[in-house]
Amino acid sequence: MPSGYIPGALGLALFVVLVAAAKLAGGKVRDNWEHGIGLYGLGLFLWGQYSGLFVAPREAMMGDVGRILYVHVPAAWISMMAFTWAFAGSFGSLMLQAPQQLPKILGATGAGGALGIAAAVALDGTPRKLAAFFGVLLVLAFLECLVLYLGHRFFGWDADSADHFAESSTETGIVLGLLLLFLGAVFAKPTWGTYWTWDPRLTASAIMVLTFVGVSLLRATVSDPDTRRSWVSVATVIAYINIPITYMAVKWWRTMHQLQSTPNTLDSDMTFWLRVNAWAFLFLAMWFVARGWRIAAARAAAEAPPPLPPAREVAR
Amino acid sequence: MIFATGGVIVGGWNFVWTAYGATWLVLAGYALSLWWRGRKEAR
Amino acid sequence: MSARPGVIRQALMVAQKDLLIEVRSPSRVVGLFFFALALVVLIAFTADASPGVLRKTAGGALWLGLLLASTRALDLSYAVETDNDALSGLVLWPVHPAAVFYGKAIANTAVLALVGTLLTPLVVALYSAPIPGGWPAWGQYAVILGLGSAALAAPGTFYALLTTRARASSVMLPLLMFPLVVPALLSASRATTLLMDGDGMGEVPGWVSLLLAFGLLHWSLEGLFYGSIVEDS
Repeated sequence: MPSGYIPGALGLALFVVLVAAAKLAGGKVRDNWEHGIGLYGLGLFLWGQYSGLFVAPREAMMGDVGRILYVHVPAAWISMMAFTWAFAGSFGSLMLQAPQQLPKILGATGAGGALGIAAAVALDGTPRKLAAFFGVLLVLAFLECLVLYLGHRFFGWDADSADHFAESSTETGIVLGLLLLFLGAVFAKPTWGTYWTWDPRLTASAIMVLTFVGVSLLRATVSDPDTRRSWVSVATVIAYINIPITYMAVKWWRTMHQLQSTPNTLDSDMTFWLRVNAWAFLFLAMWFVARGWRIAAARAAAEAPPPLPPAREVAR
Repeated sequence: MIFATGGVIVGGWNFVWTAYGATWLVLAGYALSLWWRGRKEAR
Repeated sequence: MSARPGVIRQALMVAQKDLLIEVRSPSRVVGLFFFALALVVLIAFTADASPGVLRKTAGGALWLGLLLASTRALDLSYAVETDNDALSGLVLWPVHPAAVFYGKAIANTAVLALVGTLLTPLVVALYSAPIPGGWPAWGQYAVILGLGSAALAAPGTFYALLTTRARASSVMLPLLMFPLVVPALLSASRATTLLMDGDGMGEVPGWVSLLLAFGLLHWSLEGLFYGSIVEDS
């Protein structure tokens, strides 16, 4: 089998080309570029789903029921990814409240990250783990700020548009997350004989989805746009940072074993089809988020009060 | 129908179809909702 | 001009102010206590009445009672501030916003810990769940009660401010807060139940450290963000 990364690499290359074309061509292309990535995702999806049903080999223990993995695992991965985008958008919305600070923050996080990684290479034991942890965290913050800086500079992103991105990503994450919970139940019945096993991963996912449902309800119930933006951004950031500790708590509470659903334990044919489906979900999710982003921006523009009349008219 | 013979699950296609069907329904439904809302905002 | 007190001093002053309000109107804490007690009794009715099962539910009942009482306490904590728009006054004063947050969180922690302490003998009696192991076990229990109250108070203080201005705020607070505090509720109630069961496996310290990690994370995160949300309210 060829590498399962090829369809993903092609899709990401297509994404870069489409974004560049949108920036250079403007007009109709600028407002519709994401359909390209959506169609590519749809193609992968049809291929991956057909193959998952009829081409991929039977799983050694679960037989044909194992085919549910080709929808269950991508839904899990990509809902988590969508919540990560929501976090990035909300964090970005907070950062873009003061875009002139971004170069300074870029310098600080870049230097700190490099220092942390260097310390991790030099040290041993627990200090190494700590240095690596904070180094990687700072590098991620650096990359996020770099993306924000470039987006601000070349695409005119501001705190509002980052928040619209977060809104759309949260919605996509919730849709995929609810699907994931349903698929988990359908998968649990034939394999464990019960619809819900309080499996740590699935339980933590359920709590994660509930947390983000709460955040999006907060968005629905605050009426002033600026207040809404900053409150929802903060709530999203806290909700996301809370995920690992929830997972840890639930895992301790239920130290029940469950089979690994990462591709490493599957044979290479199954890994390939799993990856094709995961890429398909990713590109479809990118289309969902991009469409939702436009809708959120259009709605915000419609809600905004009409601009004040020009000064000269007032003077007359 | 599912049967377990020698630890391996045999059958269970009804569960497979439920899972795939739900996935298609949810993704198509969400895509339609986005398309519809996009149309509404464009007006 | 006298020098402005430091942030820690300011936080303690805000806490002192909130606690003074509680002391002057003790009916509030008494009301919270009876609210939590009613829940603890009701949970016993929904559980199996055999002593073994009741003992295993005791920790969960205590913390569920405290969590639900905390939502009432938090609503009250801001009701004091929104009457006469006192919160705007507090924010306009040269007080650091983090000091307002930490002060209110400290006061809420104290109120919750007090209600928890008052509930403890009743839970022990009603659920036939004495804590074996003498003073060391009671010391651990006190630590769990303090840390658990603090872990519930920080996200509570934070989200109660968010939801005071939202429509349907009394529904919004639980919706935002409950999924978030699952780790705190889980570790506090597990640790309490294990303590009542004798903790044969020595699992309590693990749960307490998880509670501590949750508390530290939320006390620092929410203190950091409080300034940006209080300015917009």
